[in-house]
Amino acid sequence: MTLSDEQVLRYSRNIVLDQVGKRGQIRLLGSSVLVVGTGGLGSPVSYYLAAAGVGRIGLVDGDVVDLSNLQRQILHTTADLGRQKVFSAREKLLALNPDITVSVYESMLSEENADALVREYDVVVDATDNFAARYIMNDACVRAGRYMVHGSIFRFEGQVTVFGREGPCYRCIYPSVPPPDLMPTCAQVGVLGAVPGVIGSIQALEVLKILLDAGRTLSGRLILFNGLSMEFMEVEVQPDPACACRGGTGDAVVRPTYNRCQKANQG
Amino acid sequence: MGEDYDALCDIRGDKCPMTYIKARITLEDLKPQQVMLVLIDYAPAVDNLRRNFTMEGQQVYGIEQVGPGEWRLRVRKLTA
Repeated sequence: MTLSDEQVLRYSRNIVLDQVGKRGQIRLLGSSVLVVGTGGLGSPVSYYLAAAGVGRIGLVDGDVVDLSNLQRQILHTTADLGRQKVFSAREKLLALNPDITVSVYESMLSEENADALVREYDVVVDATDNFAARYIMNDACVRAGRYMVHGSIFRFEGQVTVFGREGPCYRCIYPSVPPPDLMPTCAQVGVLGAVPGVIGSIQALEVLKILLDAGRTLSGRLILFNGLSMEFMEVEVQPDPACACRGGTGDAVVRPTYNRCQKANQG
Repeated sequence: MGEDYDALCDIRGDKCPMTYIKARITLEDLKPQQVMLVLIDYAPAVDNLRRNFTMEGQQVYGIEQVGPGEWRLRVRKLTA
């Protein structure tokens, strides 16, 4: 495979980097990434991946665009209100870069569809806003041997890391779903849009580094971000030998828990 | 002068930084000790390419003006 003149121009600022070059750009164009969630995190993640020339992006989201989304979910516009988020998102990504393909899955990630979806992609991005999807995604990534680039936000804070493969998985760090009384209430769902912008941009960069096999990823390190004090803190995280991902029995989360926390999140 | 090069990179018509980016792409496919001949018609690119490739650890030589507003230079790949 070679690059067209147009591709050389489009990706010139990637190609000129030692860690990318022509070979790396061709590798990105041949790569695939599944982005679960097209909201506050999924917007910047998928936009940067599309811009960088990741050849195939899958988008999973069963939600529609709501007016309250627009202060942070920058892929969607006022004209998209009421549209399925995945279609609104695909339109923007293809407008930015017609060089790539975008597959859309107009549903939430579930135990029924997770394995098949995850296996179709090289890397998976956790850009969801709920624990249920995160555990389902984590388990499917462990089974398929895929990295899960995790990000989450809460008010002015965020966290980001790379789970899976040689590093810990999500369950190594959070063995079970928190009890419903620890779930955010309606009054606590505030967030400034730039916070998921920061975390989502870091997720996109981690995905690109994984695909390019460049630098040092966040595997084994959790970044905690506080946007109000503007501080980044790094915590070392290790695989738990008792976790199911390391052959242990783990602290298996049973299906009713997923349902319970999904309900709690809709509060 | 013989055609002592392994790859030709004709960047006439290009300006910086595309001159360097295209030359770099061509060089990427070469093996160590192989030589790329670069054809240039944008004057600032001559010095830019010389400096950039030298900084990268490659050998730049044979810089010559071959006509009004046209230059050529050679880059021997030393480091991958």
